Amino acid sequence: MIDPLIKQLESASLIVTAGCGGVGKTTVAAALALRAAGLGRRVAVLTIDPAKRLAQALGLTELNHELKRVPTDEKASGELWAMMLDTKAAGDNMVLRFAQDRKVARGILKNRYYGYFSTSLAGTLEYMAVEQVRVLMDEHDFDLVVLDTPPAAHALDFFDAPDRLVDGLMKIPLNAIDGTNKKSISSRLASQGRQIVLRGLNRLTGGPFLDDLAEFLGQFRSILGALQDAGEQVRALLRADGTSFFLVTAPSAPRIEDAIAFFGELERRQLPVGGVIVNRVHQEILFDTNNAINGDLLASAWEGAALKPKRESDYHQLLTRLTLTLSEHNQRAQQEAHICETLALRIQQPQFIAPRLNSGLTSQADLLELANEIQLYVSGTSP
Amino acid sequence: MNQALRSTEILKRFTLITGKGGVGKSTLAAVLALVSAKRGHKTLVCELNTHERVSRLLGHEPAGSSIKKLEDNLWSVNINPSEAMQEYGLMKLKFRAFYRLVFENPLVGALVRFIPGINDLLMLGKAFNHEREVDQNGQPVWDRIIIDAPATGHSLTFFTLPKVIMNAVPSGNMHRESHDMWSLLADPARCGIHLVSLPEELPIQETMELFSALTEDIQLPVSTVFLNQVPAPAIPRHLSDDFDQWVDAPSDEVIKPLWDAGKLRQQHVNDSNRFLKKLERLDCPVICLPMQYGIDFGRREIDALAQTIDEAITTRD
Repeated sequence: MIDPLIKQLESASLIVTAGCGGVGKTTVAAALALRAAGLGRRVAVLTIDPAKRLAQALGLTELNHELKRVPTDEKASGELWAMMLDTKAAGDNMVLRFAQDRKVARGILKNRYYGYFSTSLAGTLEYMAVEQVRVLMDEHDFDLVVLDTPPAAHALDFFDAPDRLVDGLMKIPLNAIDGTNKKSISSRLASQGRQIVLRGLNRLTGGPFLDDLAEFLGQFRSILGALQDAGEQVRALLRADGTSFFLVTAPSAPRIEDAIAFFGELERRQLPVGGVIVNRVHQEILFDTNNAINGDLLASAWEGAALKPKRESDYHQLLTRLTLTLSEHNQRAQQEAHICETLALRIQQPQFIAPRLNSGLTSQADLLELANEIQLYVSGTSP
Repeated sequence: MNQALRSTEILKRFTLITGKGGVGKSTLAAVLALVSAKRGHKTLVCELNTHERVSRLLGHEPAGSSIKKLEDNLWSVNINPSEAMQEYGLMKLKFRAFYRLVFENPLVGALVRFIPGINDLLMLGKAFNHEREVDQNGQPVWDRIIIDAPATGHSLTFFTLPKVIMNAVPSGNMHRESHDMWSLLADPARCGIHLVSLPEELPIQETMELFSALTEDIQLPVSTVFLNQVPAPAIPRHLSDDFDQWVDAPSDEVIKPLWDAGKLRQQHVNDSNRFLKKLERLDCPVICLPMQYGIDFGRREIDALAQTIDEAITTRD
């Protein structure tokens, strides 16, 4: 790993790893956090839903929503802490925090719909994640927080959901669902001479459903003002000096297309991008194809091993198979190098290559090796 | 060599494919669609508001949001939630004017669009309606419907949606629709849920977690687990012990790269076997899809994978 990344790990106060699912985002987030701790910083890594394996790789038996110190090398001058965002509690905390009084909060929390939708109600998780980042920075005084965002196609939701929640609530006519208005939607429509609309609704959903939903949203809307303020804070924090987004991707054609689209979205939102990390890249095994090799050469190299094939034909067969395996490997490595080059041309940002490691990333040493192996990609060279 | 499976186990009327991002869900959707079509089933493959990988993988132009014929017995569609909403509205309200009257009421429009998970529900609902679709003779229009479902995490929400709505809405049309959808998902005779995984630490772990979440928490049956990109051994079986024992890297500069490549591959093969054993402890069949080596991944590779599955089926049917 060379300077540009070290520089960010030394100076950033918030690093957000973003990208599509299945590219190793959480692993990269943990590796970066571990490396930054090794540089002497006090670091917290906040993940949304890590596999148990990652907790184990960090050296924790489990990762939950309590902030836990990760045991690191005694020689490291920094500290690493980790926690998982409690998705179930996130919504409750948000309601309790923003509702104008306990009565309203209780009304929301005990609403049937809230129970069903609290974890999927767009926006809640995002608020709480960013709120948690603020707490880690301000109250726990961390130098750096590494935030891992949720995976998959919903990655962008993470940044848009807070706005969308507010916008969505704003679009609902206030008088229709005003918490003080005792009239249900059904009776309101009926009184407005909109029986035909009501009949349509009944056909679509069954009548009481929208009445209930409206009541719930009415209550929820009562915390709208507070949500808007919080939304502003989220927007400000994600664009603050010292905040850096890392886009994590994998070296395959469809993933790269996703990454380019994703990068466009980050730029459109004016989010500060610190770089692109192409994860799990195959390294070419250098081999001079002009070399004359034959079974005898393989047999003599094999001398001294505990077991050896017995027949001469075995060596010939092995040589053919090994040559094929090597060429398949290098073909893949070259193809990935080509993909990295394409990406470098299309995204004008520092690009980093994280090599595919042979270990299954099962220990802290593996994670640190990953972090140490991340290299700046220089266009026109093979990674 | 894969265990033999009946075609009825792999190709049920309604097939959903799910797994962690990047494991090859679209690939499997394309492969199964092809196997199904080649076996003479009139097949519709559905993508849910995506970049349309399936039609491209099969070497065709993107289908778009209306059903398009790709080749013999094979059609494709990219389901779009707002069109699905309109379709559902028109189906229930019969007349466009009536539909507009209801949906253009500001109050109703805003509320309907605000139902959490409504987009996923509408897309699943549309695929579900294709399952029920009959021609003028009362015969089903489609023999097989294959759905490229969302990635894990999101997919759990996706699979629980019908039940959530069913419980949240005690009566009426939406309750009935969700109930029917749930009955289909939970019926192993009609619906197959396939999980896709890779022979790597984290994907395997997530697959095990998803399997137990689906079968135990949500109580939906999983049909098959597909292990994708299974590496081919570098060393013939009768020589693999010998090669394993050759632990010290050769000093010969010419042989060293070959040894490196061989060791790397053998390690992947050993890891993959270990992961396969883990998956085989799950109460469901596991099918291996061999890694396709080569520059591009396209129709030729899809054809090769389709043949692998077809062979597993043919030896059993």
